[in-house]
Amino acid sequence: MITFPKSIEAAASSPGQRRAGGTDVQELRHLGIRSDDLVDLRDCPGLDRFEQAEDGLHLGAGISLTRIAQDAAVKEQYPALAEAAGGLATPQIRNRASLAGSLLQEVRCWYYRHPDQQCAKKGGAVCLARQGDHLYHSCFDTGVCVAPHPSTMAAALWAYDALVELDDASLLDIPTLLGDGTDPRRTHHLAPGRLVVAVHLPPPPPKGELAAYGRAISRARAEWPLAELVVRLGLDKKGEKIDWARLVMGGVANRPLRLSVLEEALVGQPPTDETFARLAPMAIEGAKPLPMTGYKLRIIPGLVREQLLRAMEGAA
Amino acid sequence: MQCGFCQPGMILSAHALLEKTASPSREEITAALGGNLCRCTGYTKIVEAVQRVARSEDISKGLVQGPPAEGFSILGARARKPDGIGKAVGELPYTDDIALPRMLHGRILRSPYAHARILSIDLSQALALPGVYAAVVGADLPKAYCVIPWTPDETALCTDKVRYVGDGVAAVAAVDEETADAALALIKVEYEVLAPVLDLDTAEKAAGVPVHERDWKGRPRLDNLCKEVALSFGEVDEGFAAAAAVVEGEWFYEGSSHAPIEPHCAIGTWDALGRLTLYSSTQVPHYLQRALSEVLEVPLDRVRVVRPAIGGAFGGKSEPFDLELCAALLSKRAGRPVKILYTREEVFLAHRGRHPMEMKLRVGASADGKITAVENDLRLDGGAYHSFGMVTTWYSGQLLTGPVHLPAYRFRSRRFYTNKPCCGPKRGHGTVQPRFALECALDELSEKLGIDPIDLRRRNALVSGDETINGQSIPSLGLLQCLERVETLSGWKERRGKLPFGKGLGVACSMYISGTAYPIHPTELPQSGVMLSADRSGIVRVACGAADIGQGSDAMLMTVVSEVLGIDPDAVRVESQDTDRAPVDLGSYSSRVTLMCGIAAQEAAMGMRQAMISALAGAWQVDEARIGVGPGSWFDLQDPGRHVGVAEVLRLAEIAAGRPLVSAGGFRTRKLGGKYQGGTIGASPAYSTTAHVAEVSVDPETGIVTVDKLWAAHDCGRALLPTLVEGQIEGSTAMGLGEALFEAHTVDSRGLLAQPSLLEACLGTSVETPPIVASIVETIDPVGPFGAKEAGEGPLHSTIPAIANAIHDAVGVRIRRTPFSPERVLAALKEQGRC
Ligand SMILES: Cc1cc2nc3c(=O)[nH]c(=O)nc-3n(C[C@H](O)[C@H](O)[C@H](O)COP(=O)(O)OP(=O)(O)OC[C@H]3O[C@@H](n4cnc5c(N)ncnc54)[C@H](O)[C@@H]3O)c2cc1C
Ligand code: FES
Repeated sequence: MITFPKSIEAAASSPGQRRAGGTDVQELRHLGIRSDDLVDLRDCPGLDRFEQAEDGLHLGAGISLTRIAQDAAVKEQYPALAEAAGGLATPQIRNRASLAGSLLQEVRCWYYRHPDQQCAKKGGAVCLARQGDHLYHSCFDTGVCVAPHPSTMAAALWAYDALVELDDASLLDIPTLLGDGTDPRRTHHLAPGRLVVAVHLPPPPPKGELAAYGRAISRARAEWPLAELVVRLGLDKKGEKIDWARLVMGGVANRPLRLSVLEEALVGQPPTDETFARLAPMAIEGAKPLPMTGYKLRIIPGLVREQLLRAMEGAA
Repeated sequence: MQCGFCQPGMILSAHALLEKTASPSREEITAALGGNLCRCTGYTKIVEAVQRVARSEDISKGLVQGPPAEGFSILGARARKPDGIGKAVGELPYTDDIALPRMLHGRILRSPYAHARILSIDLSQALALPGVYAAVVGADLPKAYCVIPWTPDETALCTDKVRYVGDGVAAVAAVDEETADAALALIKVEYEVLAPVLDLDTAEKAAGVPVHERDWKGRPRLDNLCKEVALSFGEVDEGFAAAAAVVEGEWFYEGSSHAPIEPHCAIGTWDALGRLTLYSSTQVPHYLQRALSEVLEVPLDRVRVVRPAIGGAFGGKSEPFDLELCAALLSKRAGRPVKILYTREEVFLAHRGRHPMEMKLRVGASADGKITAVENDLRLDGGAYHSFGMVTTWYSGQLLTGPVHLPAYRFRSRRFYTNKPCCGPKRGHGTVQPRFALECALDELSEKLGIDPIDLRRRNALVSGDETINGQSIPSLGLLQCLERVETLSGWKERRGKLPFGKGLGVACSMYISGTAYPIHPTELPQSGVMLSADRSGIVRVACGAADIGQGSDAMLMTVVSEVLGIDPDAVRVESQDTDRAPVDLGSYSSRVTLMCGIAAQEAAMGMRQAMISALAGAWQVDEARIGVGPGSWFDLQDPGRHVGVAEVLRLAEIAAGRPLVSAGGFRTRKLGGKYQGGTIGASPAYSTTAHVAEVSVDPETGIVTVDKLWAAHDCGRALLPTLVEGQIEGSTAMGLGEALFEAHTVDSRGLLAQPSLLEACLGTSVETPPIVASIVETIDPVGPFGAKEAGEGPLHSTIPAIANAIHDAVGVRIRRTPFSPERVLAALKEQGRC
């Protein structure tokens, strides 16, 4: 059964699977992985909110990724977020996909999506990918399930310290929403029945920032990346030293990874290619590749260096 | 447009783009179409179409869009396909668009195990579910079949064993798909699980239970060897002894699937007289008709196959499939029409795609770059059944002997059964893999000998009239022209070897058959028949069973008839969809249709033309030699002011004959090929040839390969319809690019298919498909209709080695395994010490 609740309260109290753009929900249903009732959020007022508030920008949960990618205010204040939204999937998917849906989508592991297979995420005993074909899976071992976290927007929103507003007005940060990856059954930790209503972005840094989003991918479209990275840098007044750095990487673990060690190392350094090339390998510290994903460790430093350089292009 | 299945979606995306951006760049167009897959066109013509609309070009509404080749009235003209507009607006039905009254929907239960015995199947609960009308198991259709009549090794549903994850076990018909799915969940199957055979080494060792425990004659079988062929021509050992340089190595070509955008679909229905009609998305209506007749035990004349519009096939719909046989039987049992539509996963499980092939190849050459000997030892991973396997095994050896001359050649090719989805014929059947190995080896040879790779190929080129070492005679071959064309277009001489590290150019060439002299079912009957009949309204009907799978065989028939009769193509109506109404053509495979149906159509049209000439000469009381034909009207050569419309000529001819004007033509097979066992396999009436140059960028840090541009020159004899020939070159090249860089069809350690959806199958999108420059070379073949030969498969082959060779030129590593994915390129760079 499908219902189209007319208010957020009604939606929150309707049992069943929420559907926004439906780009993931429909596939899960088609594959028989979900078959509960559908609660379509189409008629819910307020989910298309787009507000410049005092504490930053509030983006309604239902706003499309195309809009985020193309909106002038987002592009100016949160450039890597806009770039990430415009860089994932295909134009057709981005037109449909909602902000909340992009955060809460399920992993694309083909074992998980196989109708007959009971992997750990579906309550089975083991992660089938770990023993099977995992060429596109994690190279950081952060929990039982080794499917990379699917959400590009999660990485970008984390890099911007965004908060997720729920229907009960509570606010969650991204790491809390996603959890630490140890429970294979949870791709996110939104309590069942809760609704995401908006995402709050804090005001941009007063002195501005240099930012970039990029992905290593062999096929440009219609595929998740081998690794992806959001980079934000703040420079000192003269532009000679890095004041602060924010790097969040996706596609390499069952949750996005914040590269804190590398961030710290970058602070105080001149923003040059020499620095970037020297420090980029720190991005793979602590990595624990699976038998088939060792190659990702060779890709990551190149990606990190490239995106740091791309961010600096904004300074020129 | 080719099959047209993607067109409505493309048009919507293009429209959305043009509403926002009036004159988009190429990048903007490819980005906007990035979410719409097309499997046929390589996106080239689609991007061009968007550019033409953006430029507000005045596009005429007529079928013919440009001038014909010199001396012709329509041949060689830019023309629309007769089904183009209908498909673009979604008017022409594909099989799944058809809904018959009272129609049920069927689904097939598939094996979760790669290898297991079926101990029991219990349908009772499924049959008891409300809304379920019929359920069948393997024992209901026990007759084994195969598209190749000598090797029947599969049944519509498994009878004793399942042989891959996805093998069909039972089928159900119900009021809708959901109910049918619910019924499948209620079927209880007891299995005894066996150890699966999942790779070539295990298959060859034959340690456990073989995939097939009996052969098709019922004799016990102890190994997994499905077919072995070994042949030797010329003095191979002497050739190697005389070689100044030898390249030797092991190449591996990964499997891949056709992935037509339209999934397979079939509808079965029986009439009150007990006649079966089966609608199906098939490229071989005739073989399907035969299989239905044999397996269901219905006489051939009581089986009718209707082929609606087809949304792409590429070899993936060229044999009978379980859904067709099950739809027919379920419909009989239920007393209602039954439709079965494959899910995307089922399309990949039905497969019959490219064989994974391991090739141990050795090539020797003299100091001046002349090949002295070639030796190849191949193992083919065939999957669970035979399919066209016997042909694939022969082709993998027999079709390598041109377009570069091999003076001495030896091969052994062995196809093994494994517990995987069955491999079969994919575009370029059997030869894309060894061609990859040979063309890469030639590149290595040219490096060793210090000879430019294009020159090396020139020094070994076969030309028109030559015969290959294995006895195939080649009426026409434009390899030298193709090489020169891509050399010039790509700026090879000026740029090759001078590009910076990370950028490179590579070349390769290939040859392919235009049909086979030896049909699948040996027969003295013609391989193809065409019936023409004229109507007094002024139209000419062309009946021919050729399956238009998007490649444009209807357009080809229309053009040939229109040319011969000088009639407006719009007045030519092709009837090719119904076995009750059109004479047999064996099917759209082996690149045979243009040549064989074209010749049959030409013959039929010449017959009608003669009757028309006689009638008009009689009416005008002039000598027949004075009658001039078309375009549009017929005239008196000595008095051009005297002319008459074709419709009037048809009327006069009908009056003169006193009966409707009809005429038939056929393509009769001539004996061709070498006089040894297997000598006829690969013997073709004509051969096409192709050369490719690829330009690539390789990122040494990420291993990501980007193809920047592809030039393809293809000798198709004569381009009857140049736009369609270019479309085939572009589409083949793009499909080759996908196999080179992205695509695979593999299973994991339990036999689960690792690419069950379009996402994992990784077809190239418009974004990573670079500009493809398709260039037509015409050698006017002495056999083909008006000199035409194939264009639909040949231009795939050399794409892959051209890219591999370009990667070497860019970063200095040889990649001997497809696809050239980032992790492989990185590994090669590391191993070969390049970074
Ligand atoms: C070819 C392809 C390539 C892709 N590549 C990428 C990529 O590179 N990176 C990436 O991040 N994504 C990628 N995607 C995934 C795509 O971004 C997601 O499918 C999309 O963002 C989901 O959004 P939706 O609105 O359609 O969500 P839906 O499918 O409607 O929902 C997804 C989930 O979110 C829940 N949900 C939705 N809205 C709410 C709400 N307000 N409150 C609570 N729960 C809610 C639903 O219940 C469901 O569980 C790709 C998809 C495709 C098809
Ligand atoms: S024409 Fe695009 S899929 Fe066939």
